[in-house]
Amino acid sequence: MNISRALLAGGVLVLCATAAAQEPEIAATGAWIAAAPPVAGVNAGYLELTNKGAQSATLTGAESPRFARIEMHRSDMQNGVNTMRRESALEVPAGGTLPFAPGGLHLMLFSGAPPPRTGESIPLTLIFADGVRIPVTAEVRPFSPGAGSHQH
Amino acid sequence: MSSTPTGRQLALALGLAVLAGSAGFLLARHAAQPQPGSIEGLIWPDPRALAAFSAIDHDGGPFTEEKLKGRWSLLFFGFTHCPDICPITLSVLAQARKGLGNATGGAPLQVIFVTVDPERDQPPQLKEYVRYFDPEFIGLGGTPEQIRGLTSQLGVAVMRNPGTPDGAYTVDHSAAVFVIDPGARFVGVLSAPHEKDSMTLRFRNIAEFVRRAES
Repeated sequence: MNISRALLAGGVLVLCATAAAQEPEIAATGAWIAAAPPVAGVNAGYLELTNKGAQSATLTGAESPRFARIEMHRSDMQNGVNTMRRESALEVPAGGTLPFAPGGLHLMLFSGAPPPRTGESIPLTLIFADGVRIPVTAEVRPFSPGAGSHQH
Repeated sequence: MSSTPTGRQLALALGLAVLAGSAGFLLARHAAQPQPGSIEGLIWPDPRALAAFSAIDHDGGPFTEEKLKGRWSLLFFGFTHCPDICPITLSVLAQARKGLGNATGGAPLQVIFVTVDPERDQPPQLKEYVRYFDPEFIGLGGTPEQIRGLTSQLGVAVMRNPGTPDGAYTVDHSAAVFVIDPGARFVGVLSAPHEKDSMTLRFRNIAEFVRRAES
């Protein structure tokens, strides 16, 4: 390693350390995308955000080169009726988690082209209100074993 | 009086024993058939026969109440542009269907997905959608009036939400799975959340109760 590369590497480390001290420490884990019939034109994405920092963070959106648009939606059930509402901002509390899971919060992934295929790994970028962007990789898999095995 | 039993006394004792045995048999039979109120989701007594309706199946053919007769049916209402609840439920139904063959006493079981968004969900779209989950699934569409002919008599709630400027919209809808017996009667409701084992158990209990009540 020459000196300039070592300096560069050191600089990056310092930048990371500075960022860690000032910004929420958000970890995105368990990201996956539910396989869906291509004709649906939408897929749901799930993951869990953990905030190890001392201040809350606000997720405002996500993007991916594989989808035309990504929104945050919340499925809910009221009196036996399924509802789905768009969320524009979601808080990840300090020291807490924000789970996206089937039947609740999900990333609504529009118009994947070509449609996501089971087994594919898809890059997503989570965007926070303070400008922080966190890249995650989500694997496409069926909702349950045996389901979605009739893709063409 | 003699202390040995007479023929008459023996006959009486024998008769009582037969009676007790019969009563025991009847009681046992009665006890084996659970009370309707103990079966989750069962609509009994007096399940309602479905009124005439007309919809369009995913091949574009007519589908009426006649196609519910002679088989058990599980109906679920949803729409193909739904990314979360609808595919979860259809995945569970696809898994559950495989384990339900012997609950119906040999009668066929059909799973029917009825769109609550018939303008967007035309038959070819429905066909591709439902067959993704299970090639045996049936998709039903039609005009909004035709869909209402089915939703109104099952008490299915359908509320379309305002769309975004690009025309995207979602539809709120009942999450339950409706159980129709081979007499085209509405005999049960499987309420959400849906999970394979609990759905299988609840359907099995409903189907077995109805079959025994009818036998």
